[in-house]
Amino acid sequence: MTKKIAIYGKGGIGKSTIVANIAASYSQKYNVLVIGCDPKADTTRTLYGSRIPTVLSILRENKEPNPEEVVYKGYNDISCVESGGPEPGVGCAGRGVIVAMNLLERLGVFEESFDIIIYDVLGDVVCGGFAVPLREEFADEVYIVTSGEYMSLYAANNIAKGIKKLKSRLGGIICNCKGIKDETRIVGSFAERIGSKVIGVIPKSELVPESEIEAMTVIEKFPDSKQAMVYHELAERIYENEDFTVPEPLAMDEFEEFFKELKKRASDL
Amino acid sequence: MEPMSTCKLFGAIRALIGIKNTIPIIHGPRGCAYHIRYLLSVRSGSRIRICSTELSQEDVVFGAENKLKETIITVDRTYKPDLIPVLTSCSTSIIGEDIQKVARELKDEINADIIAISAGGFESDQSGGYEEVLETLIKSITIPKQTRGKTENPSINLIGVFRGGPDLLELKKTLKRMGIDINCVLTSGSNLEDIKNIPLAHLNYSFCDISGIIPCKILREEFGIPFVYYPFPMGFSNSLNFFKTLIDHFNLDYPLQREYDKLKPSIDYFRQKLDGYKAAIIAGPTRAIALASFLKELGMTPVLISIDLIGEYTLKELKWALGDAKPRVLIQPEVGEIEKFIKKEQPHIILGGLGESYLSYNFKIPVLDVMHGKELTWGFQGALSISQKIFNLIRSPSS
Repeated sequence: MTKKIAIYGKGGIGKSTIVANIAASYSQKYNVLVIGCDPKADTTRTLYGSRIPTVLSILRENKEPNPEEVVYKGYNDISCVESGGPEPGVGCAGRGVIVAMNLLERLGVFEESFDIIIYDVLGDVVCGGFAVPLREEFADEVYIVTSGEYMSLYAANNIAKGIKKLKSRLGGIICNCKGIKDETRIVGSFAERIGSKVIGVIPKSELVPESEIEAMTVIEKFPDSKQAMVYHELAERIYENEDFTVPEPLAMDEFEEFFKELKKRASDL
Repeated sequence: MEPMSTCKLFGAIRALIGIKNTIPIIHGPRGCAYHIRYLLSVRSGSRIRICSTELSQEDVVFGAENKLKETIITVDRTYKPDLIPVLTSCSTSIIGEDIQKVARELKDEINADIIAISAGGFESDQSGGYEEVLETLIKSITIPKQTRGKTENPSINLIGVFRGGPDLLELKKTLKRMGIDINCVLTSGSNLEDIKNIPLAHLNYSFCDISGIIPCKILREEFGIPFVYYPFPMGFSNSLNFFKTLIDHFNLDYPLQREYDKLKPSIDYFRQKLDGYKAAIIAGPTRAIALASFLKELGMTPVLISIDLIGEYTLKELKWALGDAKPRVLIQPEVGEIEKFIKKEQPHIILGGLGESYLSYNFKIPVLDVMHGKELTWGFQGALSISQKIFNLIRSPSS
């Protein structure tokens, strides 16, 4: 059976880095497909070595493209797709995701024998289009990436709302450290409050920007580094994970209260 | 800029309302349901039921899944339909309302069968709507049930017929006389049982160049049913060849030629009266081709043929139907282009639909509505009726 994972989280939180690195890790054993669902279209850059043409830009030229025209083989034979979308400020990026996913379905891309499919979705479940990867026919499990910062947790809580609304299953929270005091504890408490758990903690590392400059994943550029091991471990945990919940997101006042309390406790320590 | 064809939603609705006891719900603002119902009621002369979730500004901003659920349940309880197709419109296709999920969730809560069709207007022209409905019906009703065996009598399915009325009745009667049953009409006048029983027929006949061919191919693949797609039974020789194709296919003993020969004096009469008159045809591909050869058969000259959309075989068949005639052919034209060439070619009559009636006021050229659901246009009787009407209009254009 194919494992189908969607990764959500606030814009700029490091989803694409995590997605590319766990994909690189899986590729050592499995057949992997990575789908970037963000108009920025930079999820697969570190896997392919450069930016690939997006499904939506290809569709503008050719209404009936072949699967080979939209799926690019990257590092270790990982299949890479970018949905793409309009320039900032125009059009409708959400509709773009719907169109791109429909095309991939029609082309039979999902019928190929992938062991793992990973969807990297834009910052937040801002509209119906960005919820498409959560639908039954696409991802089966969702992971939220967050740091211990207020805005990042706020977005994570909103994503939890989307997951609950769409009756999807949350597999856990990935803590991507930004170097905030007491960060793992903050994220851990949040995970617990919404009825989930932290499935992995990614420490801040200089190796990430260093490998990104060369359009490579940490796993490719620094295969023996400690950071690479962190990604391997996260990949493994997600692969083995069988503990899923429908999250219970916090109401607005609950969230404010929760955050104040955390800060208070942190300063008391 | 001023198109002569329409959108996916229209095609989907038109195909769906042919199915008996079916009430489509359009998930969107009320205009889509109102305009499509208005147009189809006028064209068919029948009561047509199309419901809408009547979305407001707020609904589009916040999503309206619950409103859709409530509407489905109300339609199910109030009208007790056999089938509720739920369709997106432009707005709900853009905001990504998950109608498939709603259909799945309500399946066991309602008595009707339910299907969901993505029908945002921008997704395609009407042919995409026809096609998707026919494919969805085949894939969600016919294929899963896998009815085995064949009917005892020779029988055919008509694929891509969205107009019932006297035409279908006349065709059924004539075929019955020849010993051929119509097993299922996809979609006009069929019920869910008929659609389930599609595989029982021996032959499929595509009646629509833009939406009948692909379903016929799916049915050939899935159930091994062969298909034919030409000619369309409009006009004397088209009808003759239509019936002959079927009689030959089933190897039946029927005095078809004798029946046709009896019509010859009438055909000769009309030929003599109509010879040399110029005509314009404004239609879809299937009827345009049939009408072109029919007019030639009456000795008339088609000077302008406007076709809203074309299918895989349209141009090949048109070339064959036209023979040595050299009319101006407009494919997917703009409204203004048609007017320009009507003015230039000055036909004595225009064969079209209700949408063309204004041309008769503007250009003082009579228009014969050959698309109306209450007109008889198919088979030998249909050919006689059209010939008589053309004759009447040309002889006394004011009537």
